[in-house]
Amino acid sequence: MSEKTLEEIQKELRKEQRKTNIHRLLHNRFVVLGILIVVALFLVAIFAPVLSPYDPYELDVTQRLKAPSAEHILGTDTFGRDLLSRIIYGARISTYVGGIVAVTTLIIGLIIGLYAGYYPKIDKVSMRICDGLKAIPSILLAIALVAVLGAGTTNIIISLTIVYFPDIARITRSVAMKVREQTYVEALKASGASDTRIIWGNILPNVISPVLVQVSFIFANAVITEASLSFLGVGIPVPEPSWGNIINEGKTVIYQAWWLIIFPAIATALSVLGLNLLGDGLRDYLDPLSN
Amino acid sequence: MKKKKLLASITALMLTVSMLAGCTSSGSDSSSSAETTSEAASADTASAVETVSEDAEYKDELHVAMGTAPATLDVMMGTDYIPRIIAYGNIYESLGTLTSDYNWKEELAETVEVNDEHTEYTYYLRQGIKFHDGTEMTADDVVASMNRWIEKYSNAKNMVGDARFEKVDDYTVTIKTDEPALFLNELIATQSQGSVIMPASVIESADASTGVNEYIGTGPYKFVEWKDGQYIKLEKFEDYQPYGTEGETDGWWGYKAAPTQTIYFDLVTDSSTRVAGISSGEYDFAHELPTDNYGQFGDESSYHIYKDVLGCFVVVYNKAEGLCSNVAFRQAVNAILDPEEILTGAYGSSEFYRIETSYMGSEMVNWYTTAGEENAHKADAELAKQYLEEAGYNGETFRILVKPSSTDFVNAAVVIQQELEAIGVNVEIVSVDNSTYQTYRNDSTQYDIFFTNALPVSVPTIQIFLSATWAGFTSDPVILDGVKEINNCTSLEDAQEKWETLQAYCWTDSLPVTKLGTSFSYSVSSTKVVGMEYFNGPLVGNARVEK
Amino acid sequence: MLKYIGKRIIAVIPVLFIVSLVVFFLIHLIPGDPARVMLGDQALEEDVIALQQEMGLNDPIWLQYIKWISDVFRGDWGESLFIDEPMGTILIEHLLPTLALSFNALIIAVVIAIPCGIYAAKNRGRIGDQVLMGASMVGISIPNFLIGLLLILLFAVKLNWFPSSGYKTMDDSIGLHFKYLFLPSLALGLMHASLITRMTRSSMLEVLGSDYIKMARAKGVKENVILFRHALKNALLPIITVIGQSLVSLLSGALVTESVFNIPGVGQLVVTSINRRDYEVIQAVVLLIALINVVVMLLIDILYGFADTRVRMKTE
Repeated sequence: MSEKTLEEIQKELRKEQRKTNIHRLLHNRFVVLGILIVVALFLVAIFAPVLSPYDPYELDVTQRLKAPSAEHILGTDTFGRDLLSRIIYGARISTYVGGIVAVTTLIIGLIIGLYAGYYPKIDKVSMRICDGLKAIPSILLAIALVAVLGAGTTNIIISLTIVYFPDIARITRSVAMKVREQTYVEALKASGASDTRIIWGNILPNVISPVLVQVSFIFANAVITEASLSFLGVGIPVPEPSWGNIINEGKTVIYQAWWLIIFPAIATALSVLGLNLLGDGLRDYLDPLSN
Repeated sequence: MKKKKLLASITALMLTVSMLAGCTSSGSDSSSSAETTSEAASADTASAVETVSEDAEYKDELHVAMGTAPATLDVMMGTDYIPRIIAYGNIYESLGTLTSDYNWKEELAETVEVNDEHTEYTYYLRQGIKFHDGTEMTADDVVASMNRWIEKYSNAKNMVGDARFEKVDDYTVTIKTDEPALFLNELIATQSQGSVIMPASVIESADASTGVNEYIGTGPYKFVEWKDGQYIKLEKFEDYQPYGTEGETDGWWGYKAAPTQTIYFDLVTDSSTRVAGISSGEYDFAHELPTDNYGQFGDESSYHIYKDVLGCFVVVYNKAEGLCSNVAFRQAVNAILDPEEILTGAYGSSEFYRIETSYMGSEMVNWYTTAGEENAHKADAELAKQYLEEAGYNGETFRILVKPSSTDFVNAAVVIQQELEAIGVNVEIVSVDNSTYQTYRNDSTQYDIFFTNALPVSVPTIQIFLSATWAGFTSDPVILDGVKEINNCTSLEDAQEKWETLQAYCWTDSLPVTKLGTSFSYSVSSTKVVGMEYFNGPLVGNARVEK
Repeated sequence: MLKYIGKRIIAVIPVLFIVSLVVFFLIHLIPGDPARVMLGDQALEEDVIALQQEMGLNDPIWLQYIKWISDVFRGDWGESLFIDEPMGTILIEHLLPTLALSFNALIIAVVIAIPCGIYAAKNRGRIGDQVLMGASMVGISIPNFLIGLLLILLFAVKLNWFPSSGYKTMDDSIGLHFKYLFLPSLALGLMHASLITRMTRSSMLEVLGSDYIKMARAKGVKENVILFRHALKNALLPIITVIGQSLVSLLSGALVTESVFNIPGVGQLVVTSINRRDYEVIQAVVLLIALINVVVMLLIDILYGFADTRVRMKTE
């Protein structure tokens, strides 16, 4: 009986905590800014066909490298394609790649981390693999993976998942290990609860908060890495209007067409900024102790 | 000129002074007196230089910025033109070389005798030629080099069969083939895979997988250092024996005075760095700059522009497997391609391409022909659709293979994708890095078309896309037999006639490739650079830089 | 403590083993091979096949791995197919520019970050703090290849103050060396400046909130003395940790920055070696980078372990 009241008190406390957290969250204008940027990014991605003034693939070699004007607000690229339209469509690629990578790393990292945190045998092997993967600079690992799998959106997603899942797995594992040591888990075990139930029913809820924070940063990192890979010419294949592709193309004409670098650069930086601000806010909200 | 005379007289003076010193000083004291004379001499030179400073003074270094780092300087192995530009004519020389109209002319050979059947070639070597290691070039070195060249180069093997070079005496070599080899000299001169002469000892100690261990030739510059990713440094070879008369050059052939002491080939893969470096004066010459920067170098008082043929821009079909193994489908693609649109996409402006149907560019006067052009460059959607129907095209994916490092090909692919999608073909651009690209090109399951800028060659039969063992897999027996027949001709006229027929057949019936035109590249030097020439690459043999 | 260190060092070995496996098989799984690169674009197929055979590319892959890894254990890191120098020389020659770049970047980062962090902590919540925190967030969010390009666009293309790219060694000229390295170091340093600023601020805040500082304040110690002599000293440890971690990510960030600025460092070596499938060079470089990473992390851990006990004792 007394246990139940204790739980109720805890619940109430948590509710209150959440209220003040939400209040704090919305009070912090950086976080609000972050949320606004991310929402805007998603809206642009979803409504790209409506928003873009031209077909982003439509070539017109007579209109090559035109500076920003009324006709082409952000100018044109080396094929005479409208830059604004390409940047708008680029938002689709970035959010798609970043979003899917966030989800896949979440799933894979959670599973590996939970089981590694619970079973010491799995832990030894899987954490060594994670350490090994993290010891290789992420951009290098990504380049090699893409080279093996071949360029293409799906392969980029697979590569980035391999690069980033160890981050989630590590965090999940360290939290899971702490939870496993707690007496109530021991008690559950003694009372005959199955391992699966303990892992998914008792450990998982404790892991969610720190992992969600991490996922938002992985989203941001995936956007950066995709842009870097495309910039190095090993990412999303042309003629897809990935921001990295546009910047890569812009680098060859850096003396003639500054707009081919500046505008996609702003788009990339702004999106990553939004995601980072959101991640920071999430951390304050979900995991206030860590700050 | 004035300066040269002056220098010569100074040298003469110095010589007499030191000789005199050598004579007068006797016994124990000789070393110290030698010192004083050399000091005096150097003081002399300094003042002499001052007096001519109103004319031009020249730097003792020349910086040439290249866009691609060579994989090796063993030009017998490599087929890329970057190693050839750096090594051939500088480090190495060959029996014969190309003039600017793509004809053979003797280089290390004094003369060559060919019998009427073109089955027996005898080369009489120039005498007194020194290698960079100090040894003299003799027939043994030539035999070893030329036979390694044949081993490494399938086209040469096909030309001569089992025949190999043999020594007649120390300064004469010969080769006797079973069948006529009309174009053996042109093949030697073209340097697609360098037929260069190295010491026999270097050939013997060559590593089978990485090539020769030392870069030793007979050229005006000797190899000093290769800093990976940074530069290749060449130093003047003092014992070089020039040929021809001073000031006379033609294509790769000609007198090389080597007026600059040290040549740096700076390896600068990033094109905007080359542009920046030539503008800032860091490089004296920048090779192959982006076409979009062309306007930047319009100022004739600061820059020389060198524009030259880059290659023969062709769309190569995968004739072994997939959509393009069907002639009707090739006809469809051939019918829709619009050379102007594609080449503008690839090179930006018409300054850098020439639409052309002749497989051999108009520079190769002997071989230029428009035969078969009635089926070329139609850009006709209706006709293309007709062919598509005939080919039974059913929505399969058409794959264009490109590598991101060749922006011209990527750009061409983007344009062709649009043209083909307009007539209902599903197009995918397969973009892979250079090494994968090379592998995929030779794997018939990986692509339907790719592009190449085939390097200029002196004879049509060595065009790589007509070879059965090159990517694209030309296997039409009519073409392969035709090539062989032309090689076995005994007169040029006969060969020309056969080539015309063959090219017409290629355009109308077989379509191994679709030639869109000839592409050009440009390079830039500052106006301080004098004597630099350009023929399929910069020729630095007579180049120097004003201070 | 010693036992702990010993354990940590032993734990490094399986990590490096995994790295060697991952790198070797990844690299060999990539289509393409060095023979084609060596012979070039217009090589005929039969010549390529002959060279592949010579290079031993047709041996079973696991056999190639065993041969390589046992060579590595014997201290032989293999040799390059394209660079005519011993592997040690190749690695050192390319490591120097990378280290110079990373080191300069780190100095720029620290010089910017520590004062900014202290200032932000001191003025917590005020406009200066807000601006700095906003700026550092922006700094973290711009991919460093973009910072590099933007710097090139401004300082090299528009203003022509600095060369747009390239590298000069100290031997060439010390002035030129730094002139060439300035923009890339700045590009690389700015992001880390942002990270270190944030870390400095938060650890300063933590220390400033401690009883120890409160007591000093109560005693009437001057604010500046508190800030620099007491607070900074105690906040330094987490800052050093972040700097150490920065060094690791600087090395990998340097890979991209090098390619933007055309610096012949390790990054460029890896990229060109991947492009020409110079397998043994790639393996050696990645193993070396991994080794550096692991060792630096180990040192940080150990340092932290030492300092942590000291710190705890002191505050107690």
